[in-house]
Parts: sequence; C-alpha cells; structure tokens
Amino acid sequence: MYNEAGTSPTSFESLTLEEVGLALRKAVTECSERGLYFAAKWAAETLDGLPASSKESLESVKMDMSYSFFTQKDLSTNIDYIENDKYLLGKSYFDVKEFDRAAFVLEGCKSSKCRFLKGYSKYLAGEKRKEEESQDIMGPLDDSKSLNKEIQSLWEEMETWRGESEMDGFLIYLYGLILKQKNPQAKNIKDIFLESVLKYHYNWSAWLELANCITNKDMMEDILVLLPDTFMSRFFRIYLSVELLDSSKCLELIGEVQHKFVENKFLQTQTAITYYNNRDYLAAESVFEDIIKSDPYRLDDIDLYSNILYVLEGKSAKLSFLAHISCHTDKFRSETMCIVGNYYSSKSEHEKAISYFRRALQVNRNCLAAWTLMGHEYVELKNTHAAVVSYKRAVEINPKDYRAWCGLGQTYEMLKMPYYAIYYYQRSSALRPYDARMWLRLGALYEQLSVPNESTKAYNRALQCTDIDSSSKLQAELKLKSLSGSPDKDNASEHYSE
Amino acid sequence: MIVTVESSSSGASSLEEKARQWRNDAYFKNLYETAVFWGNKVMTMTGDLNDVLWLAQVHYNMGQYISAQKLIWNLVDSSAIKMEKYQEVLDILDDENPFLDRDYNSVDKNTEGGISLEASICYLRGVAYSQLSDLDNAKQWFKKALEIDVKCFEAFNELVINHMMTSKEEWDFVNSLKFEEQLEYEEAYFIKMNYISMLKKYEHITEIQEARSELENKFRLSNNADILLSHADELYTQCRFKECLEVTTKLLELDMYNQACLPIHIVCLHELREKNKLFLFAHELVEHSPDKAITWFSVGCYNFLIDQNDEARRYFTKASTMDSHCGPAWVGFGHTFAIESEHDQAITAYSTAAKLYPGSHLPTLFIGMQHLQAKNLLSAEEYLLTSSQICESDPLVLNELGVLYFQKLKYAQSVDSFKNALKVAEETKCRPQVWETIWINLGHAYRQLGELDIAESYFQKVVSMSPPNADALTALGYIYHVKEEFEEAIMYYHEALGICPYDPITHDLLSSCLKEMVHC
Repeated sequence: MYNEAGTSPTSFESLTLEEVGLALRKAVTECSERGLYFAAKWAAETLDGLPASSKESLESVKMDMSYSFFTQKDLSTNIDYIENDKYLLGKSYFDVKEFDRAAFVLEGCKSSKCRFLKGYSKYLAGEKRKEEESQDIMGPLDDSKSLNKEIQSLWEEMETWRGESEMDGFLIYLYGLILKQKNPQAKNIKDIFLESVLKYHYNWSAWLELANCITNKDMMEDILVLLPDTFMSRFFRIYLSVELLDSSKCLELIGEVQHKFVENKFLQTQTAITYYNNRDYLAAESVFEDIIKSDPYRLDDIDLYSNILYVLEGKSAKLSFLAHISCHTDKFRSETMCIVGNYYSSKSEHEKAISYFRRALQVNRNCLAAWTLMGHEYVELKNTHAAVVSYKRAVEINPKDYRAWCGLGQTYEMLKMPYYAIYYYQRSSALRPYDARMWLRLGALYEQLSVPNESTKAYNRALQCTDIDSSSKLQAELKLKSLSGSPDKDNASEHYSE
Repeated sequence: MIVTVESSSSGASSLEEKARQWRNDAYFKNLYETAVFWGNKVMTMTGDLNDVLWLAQVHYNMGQYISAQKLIWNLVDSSAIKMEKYQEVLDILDDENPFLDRDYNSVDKNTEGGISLEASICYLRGVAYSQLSDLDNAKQWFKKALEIDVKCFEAFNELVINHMMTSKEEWDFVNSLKFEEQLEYEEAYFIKMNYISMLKKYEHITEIQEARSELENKFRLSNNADILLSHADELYTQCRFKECLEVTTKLLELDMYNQACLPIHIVCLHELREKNKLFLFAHELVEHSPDKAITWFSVGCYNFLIDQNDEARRYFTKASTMDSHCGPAWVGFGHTFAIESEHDQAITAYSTAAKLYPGSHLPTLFIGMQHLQAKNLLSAEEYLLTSSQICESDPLVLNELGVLYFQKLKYAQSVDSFKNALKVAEETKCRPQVWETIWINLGHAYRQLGELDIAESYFQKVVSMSPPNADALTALGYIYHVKEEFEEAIMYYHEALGICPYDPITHDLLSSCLKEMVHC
C-alpha cells in the first residue's frame, strides 16, 4: 500500500512536480483516514501551492481514486477489507470525538490502520481527561504534572504489537508519542520518530516531533546524514533551521526550493519567522501581509504577526484590526487569544492581557507563545513568582525558546538571585550566541559576584555581536577598561616599587 | 453433608431394599415426611449404621436438629455447631472416641463411597476448636481429617483460606498426603492437582501453574470458578492487579457471591484506585449480604481509598465484630492507623491479624514496617526476620530488610538484601512497577558505598518508569553534582522540582550547585 509513497522516496533533484502531487494527494487521504488532521491539512496546503502543471493525467487519477484493496485479487485474506466495516464505525466515532467509544469498537482489530486508530483514540481520550483534570491555569487546581492515564496500558499493548509484526510508519509515530509521554528522558525517542518518517515519508506531524527532539546544530547534522534528499526532508531542514535560529542558512534553503513550490504558505511563513527572529520586523510584516491577503481566514502562526505589530511603532490600528478579524474567524483558537492579549498589552492593560493568555492556555496547554507572553506581562506587573512559573512552563514545552530563558534570567535578577540569573542567561545565550543583550547582562552579573575573568569574557562576546547599539557598546568598552584596569594598576604599582 | 449413596443393591428386592429406595426417592424430591416415615422403618428393621445416618440427614435438612441430635453423634455435632454450642461438641466428641484407636494408614481404598465418617468427625472437631480460637488444635484436627480421607475438602479449605500453615508447611503437607493409597490413580491425581492449585503462590510457582494447566486441559476445567480463583490469587501475589481484576471480574460474573474471590476483588479495586467501581460494588454487597463481614470490609476499603480514615476504621471494626476471624478487616484497621503514623495502635491491630493467620507473613511484615518507621530498629529486625522465615520469597520482606540494614548503616548488607529482593521479584514474575522502589533503594545504598556509577544506573532505571519519580531525579542530580558535572546536575534538580516544586532539599542542592558552577 505504501510502496511508492513510503519506502523509496524520490530524491529532490530528480523529482517531478507530478510525483510530488501524487505523493501529497495520497498523503492527505492516508493521514485523514487515521485522524491525523494536522498532517493532512499540511499536505493539502502544500499540494494546493503546487503549480498547475503538477496535475497528473486522467488515467493515473482513476487508479488512485480507488481503494487500494479493490485492486487485489484475493479479498478474503485482506485484513484491511475484512475489518473495513469496523474501521468505518470506529472512524465515525472518532470524527464526532467519541474517542473511548472508537477505541472500544476497534478493540482486537489486526490491521495496521485499525490498530493505529484504536491506539490514537485511546491516547486522545487520555489527553482529553488529562486536560480536564488540570483546567485551572496557574490556579490552585492547576496540576501541570497530571498524567495521561492511558499511557501505561497503551505502552504495554504496543510493545506486544511491536513483538508480533513489523509496524508501519504511522504506528511507529504513535509509539513515539506514547514513549515521549511515558518517559520524556528516553534517549531513543529521536530514533523512533526517525524510523517513522523513513517508513512513511509524508506524515508532517512525525517530522515535527522529530524536529522537537533536536536541540542543537550537531544533533541536526547527525540526523540529516540519515535522511534521503526529498522535498519532505528539505522542508524539515527549513523548519529546523528556523527553530535553531540559523537565519542565513534558512533563507538559503528556502531559496533552493522556492522555484518548485512557488505559492507555498509554509515556506512563506518560515520566511516571515526568519525575518522576525533576525529582528527585521518590517520585512516580516510585509510577508505576513501577503499571507493574510491570499488566505484571509488563516490563524496558524498569525499570532507571530501580532508580536511583530506589537514591537513596531505606530501599528496599533493594524493590531486592533487583526484582533478583530481573528475574533471573527474563531474566538476560541489559542492564536486568537494571543493576538487579543498582545493588543491589550500594547494598551498597557496588563491584567486583561494576562486573562487572554490564560484563556489561550485553557484551549491549548502547550501553547508556547502564550506562556512566554504571559511571563512578560507578569514581569511588567512585578509579579516575579508568577513570571517564573510561566517562563518555566514555556521552556518545559520547548527548551529552544531563548526568549523564555532570557525572561527567567531577568526575573531572577529582579529577585536578586544572581547565581540563578547567570544560569538562565547562559542557557539563553547558548541558543542565540550573537545577541548582545544577554552577554551584557552576564558581564554585569559576573562583575557583581567578583568573577572578573568571566566578566571580561562576557563583555568581549557582547562587543563581537553585530546588533549591539552604540550606548551599550560604549558601556561595555568602559567596563572592559575598568576590569583590565585593576590588574594593570597592580602591575604598575609593582613596577613603581621596583 | 454426609450422604453415603449406596450402590443399588444386587437384585434381591427385599422389603428393606424397597423401603430404602422409597426413602431415597422421597428425600431427593424434598418429601421429607415420607422420607422420615420410610427411613424410620428401615432403620428399625436393619439397625444398619448407614440407615441411621440417612434418617439423621433427613431430620437435619428439615431443620429438626434436636431429632437429628438424638439419632447420631456425628450429626449431633454439626447440629450443635449450627446452634453454636461449640464446647458441647467437644464434650460429645471426646478425644477418647473410638475412631482414634484405629490405624488410619491402613484405610482401604474407598472410591465408591463418600467421605469417611472418621474424617468428617475430625473435621468437625477442628471447626469446634477454631471457633474456640484454639488454632493449634484446630490445625491438627483438620490435618488429621485429610490424612484419613484426602477427599475431605472442607478441612483443606479451612487450612488454606485461614492461612494456618506457612507456604513451606503447605507444600510439604500436600506432598505427604496419601492420595495414591486411598484412591485410584486418576482420581488421586485430580484431587492433588486441585489442592496444589489452591496453595500460597509465593513458592513453587511453576508447579502450581502446571497443576492449573493440567486441570484446564486434561480435566476440561478452564472456566471453573476455583481454577479462575487460583489464577487470580497468583496474579494478586505478583502485584499484577489489573490482570487480576480482569480474572476476578470474570469469576464474579459466573458466581456473584464467591466468598473466596470477594476479598481479592475488593483489594484489587482498592489498589487500582477504582473509586467508582468499588463504591458500586460495596453498595451491591450491602444490599445483598449485609450479614457478611466481607461486605463491611469492602465499605471500609472504599472509605480508606477516599481518605476517610475515621469512617474506614468504623467499618473495619464492624466487619471484625461480625466475624472476629476476618483477618483482612484487622489488617485494614491497622492500615488506617499506619497512614496516620499511629504506630502503636497499628501494631496492635496487625498483631490480632497475625494471631488469626499464623501462616501468613504479611501481618508480621506490617508490624516490622511500623517498628522501622518508629525507628525501633531492634524490634523491627525481629519482626522482619520472623516474617522472612514464614515466607522466604516475598520481595517486599527482603526490601524492608534492606531498608533496615540501610538505617543501621550496614550498606553492604543492605545491597545484598535489595539484590535478593530483585532476584525474587524476577523469579515470581512480579510487575515491573514493584521493582521501582527496590531500584531506588539499591541506588541509595550504592551511593552510600561510593559506587556512583552503579548507583546512577539504578536511578536511571527508575527515571525511565512512568510517572517519573522526583526522589530518583534529585538523587541523579546529586550524583552529577558530586562528580562536578554541574550542567547535568542542574537539569535533574530542575526536573525533580518540576514534580515536587517545594522540596527543600532539592532547592538547597540546586542553589549550592549554581553557586559552585560560577566559582569553580
């Protein structure tokens, strides 16, 4: 079933757009058959962005439309065919979000598709209960460590499946999700998602999970060697270099694929995010403008657009407009709440902003942006304790978020806990080595703790950064002079006494 | 009861034979007056002991215990037992009764008939003693009953369900019984397998499993209640509560009020924290059998589960007053004190359970644990060693012994104990979750011995379990801290604090680690 699409993906250079179209078309069906709607949405978006020449001839469309098992001769032994009615029932329950019920009717099914849907339903049912248990964001009942209670039994069941027969890419993806919850420390999570994308190449959700496992450039290089050069792995690389804040590499990679994927929303968003990370806010804004124009009801990643409008001066009318249209599109998306929160923050209504970020988190507890932004708001209100909690939640979700690490540093500095502050600034500057702000703070802190060597190093690093503004530069130079001054003075006095 | 069904007589249809047939026929049709009429006549005609028994049996079933009592001692005794005149029974069944002089070893093969009269008398004597709380004598008589006739199941059942013997004693006893001498080969085998399947599941697991599979396959008993019970008991001993609950649920579907299964089912629901199911189940029991101690035990368990200690204690007391032999209720009663660190009261309650169930190591283990918590290391050692003598192969006992040695600062000895515990846990195929505590303990013991790498490997095993254990994370952080690998140490401390945000020890360790990192 997955032969053409799964096992031997064509390499990027020799790839025709017709083949990309075929693979993506199939991926949309296969992902949504399994309830992987986000992956299906991604594939469909990418498919839609292809130029018109990618449409195949009518013949191959006919072949593709049919159920794969109808082409097989002996239906009586085809497990997909035998279990199809059960599958249809389970899928219907899944679609109306009756997850436990879906899992119950699919119990005992043998085909990979049914097993996936069963396990995934059970997983989602557990996630739903977990969310409900820890409803209150940062309130007395907020239990961030509440667990998905289905994980243990799902794990045991999947272990037996793994022993029975080879699992397909989707099942391996689910296996990885479960392992990740069961033991976030496990060393082999990365390998499992890697196995998943190699077995089934077009599940974008699996790629995202793989990207989540990679925290630095060395790890990225190790993984890239193992991947074939396909358009999927190219997209993966682009996504990863945005995550790892490697802006120049990212723009270069986008340039390489842009001629094939002209109208690609994903590439456009990644470009915008790169500009944003580079603090080139005007360029980022114009890309987002284009995106909104061609896709006015889009909410994915639009909260980043509101961050940009927030930072830029004189854009408050635009921000207000954006908040209104996103409310109109869907009031209850976490992106919408973040945009509205940013709006209130720009009006210095911090309490209101916090309540919106909190709502965003009620909708999606893993909304990284909302945790970080809420941390910023609490810093504004000098509520250091709450700020620490928010930032810590953010780095738990994604340890690559330098803003949250930096926020933690700032907060601990406010709390007069320099040792903690140093640690957090170090984490932040490790992710973003050419940002002068963190080095300047580190220099000052080391100075305060009388560790002149480290202080000198930090100020020197700050001066190497290109984005340092003139007053900070002057300040750093002065500090360096005074730091090197004191030992010099000693030397001088020694000379003098001689 | 004791119904000696005679093989139909050999043709000569004398009047006596006819009368016997009519009597039996009427008895099976519950026409007791008719049965009494004919039985009475036959008894007078023949004076045969069996005919006396028959008549007494009919009276017994009619609830006319006095008439029965007048007829024959044996039935006198069970009648008296129903009337709770235990001392009277013993007076009647004086120890010098004629059966004692017989040489039981020469009992002939008795495959046609039922349980021999002698055996049943021994059994009744055992029941009387056990009701008078003279458990030593009770045990002797139950054992004697089985030595005379291995078919006397009730005696065996009493011995097993009341934990009168340790698992070693049980095993030796079953193997000493004369199955082959008393019965044909197949029957002997069948009964022996049944008995083996009922033994304690701490030792001889493979033999017990084999016995069960023989019964299931050879004798086609795969859905039999007793076989399921044996399986449930094994899973329970291995702490596989979820699987155990599946088996007990199936069993209770077949037989809603299987008395032996109820405690296991209730305790499994408690272990799995199935509040809702336990609530419903306890309610059903209260509705259907409010006169049983186990019912109130289940209500106690429910209250214990929802942290209503006072209520739980009340219901456990109620259960133990209804049936002073209800061991689980005494243990539960003890637990309600233990959880509040009321060590003395807990120990008193456990001691009662220990007296009731001399063959079970659990009450002694619990007493030892209480002493350990109260830092009475001397008494703790005494009780834990006694417990380990009763049962050599429970990982829990070995683990507690390890903790004891750890507290006595004998780390090498404590490592040995923990390793033994792990070995036993592997042999008895316990659920991996049981191992978690042992791993943590081993890690700490090795850490004290300065074997940081080995210690780390055990903590890593713990951390890989779900949900992650904060204690192990702090310990891992500490190991890296000692090794001066601060980055790693800080990461682990943070994770531990993520689970227990207000743990003061981890906080202090983290602060000093951050400081050392800057100044090193």
